Amino acid sequence: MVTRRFQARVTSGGLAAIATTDLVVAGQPPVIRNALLSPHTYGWPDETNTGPRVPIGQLRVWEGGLSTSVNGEVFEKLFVRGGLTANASNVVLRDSVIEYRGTLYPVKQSSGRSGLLLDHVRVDGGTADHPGIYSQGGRYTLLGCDVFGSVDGFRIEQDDCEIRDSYFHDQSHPAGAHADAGQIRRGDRTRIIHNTLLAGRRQTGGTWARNNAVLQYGSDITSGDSYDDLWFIGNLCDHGNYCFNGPNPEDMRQRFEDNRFGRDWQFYLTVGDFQTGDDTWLRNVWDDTGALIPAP
Amino acid sequence: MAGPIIDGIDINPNPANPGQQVRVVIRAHDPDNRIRRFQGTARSDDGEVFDFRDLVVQEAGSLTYALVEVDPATNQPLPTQPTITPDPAVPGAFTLTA
Repeated sequence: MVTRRFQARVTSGGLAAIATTDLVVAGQPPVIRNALLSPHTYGWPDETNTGPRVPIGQLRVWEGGLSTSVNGEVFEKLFVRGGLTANASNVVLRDSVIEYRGTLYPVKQSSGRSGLLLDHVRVDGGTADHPGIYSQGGRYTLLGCDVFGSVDGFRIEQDDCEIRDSYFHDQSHPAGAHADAGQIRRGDRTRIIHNTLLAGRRQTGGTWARNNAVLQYGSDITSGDSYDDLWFIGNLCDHGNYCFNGPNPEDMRQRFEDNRFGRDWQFYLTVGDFQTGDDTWLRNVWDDTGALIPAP
Repeated sequence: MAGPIIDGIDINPNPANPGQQVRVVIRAHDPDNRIRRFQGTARSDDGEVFDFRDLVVQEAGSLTYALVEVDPATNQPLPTQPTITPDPAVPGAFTLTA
């Protein structure tokens, strides 16, 4: 709710009268500048509002990898010193930590399984040379997760994945790697909504080294797969050689709306062949000024 | 001369949603304005004589209306003004975007 004030001035014969009145604008969002300096202050995810919602000291330590073959099994409040392997569908891990020190996948859903949910989980991938969250099977959902380490934050190769209210940052960077905050190789109806995605790694002194991209996508479409109906909405993004890097065939729809972008890019924002006919680019702004960014 | 008087300012709708068109109407009058009625006899150039009554003459200084957005804290005009469009058909009426 914002009040705007207007002043009326009426003149006649060299004399004037002045009066003011207020207009109440409902639902007007507050002016935001530099949300990247403190994302949680403005409601975006960072390390203060993602990961387990209970103190780390209250988590039960689970030594070694955690795996299950029970459909619908729910794990809560665990500190897993190892990875999570879901050999079943609809597995839930909630308010927990994955501290992975191997070289493969910190979180993996196996082939033929679907519906994995990570709800407020910290995924520390160490220096793993693979994505932090990966599914060989069907869809998965991340809510309120803090994902770092690993060469990529998440990888999507299936339909109907949802990434929401999560924080991706400080990917590992083995020699020759193209680390990304996230990848979509293929998969329709992906929803990436209200996350903080930083494609970089913090250096001594507070500077950032860029990784490859906030979102690297479409690398498998040459084999006939698609990533149609992608939503990338309300995210806070910075760092990386690219923000978006991928092709954009005319028949694949994308929505880029209400996102905020920092300025630390090597090649600016790249959305390959943005199609104004079936793609939308609305209300995307620079984070430091709030100025609208025209469609690429 | 007493100068103009602003009787009120109407905003519709209020509250408004962001981006919504809003109409502002300033209601004002000039107390020096008055209406004079005349009656009498007149003669035309060719000598014809006739009576008249209820000849109405309105004495009115024209009112000029202006509307600006001000800082609510200081009531000073904002350095960057929104687009405020006067309605050419209705003196004192404006439209703007909330």
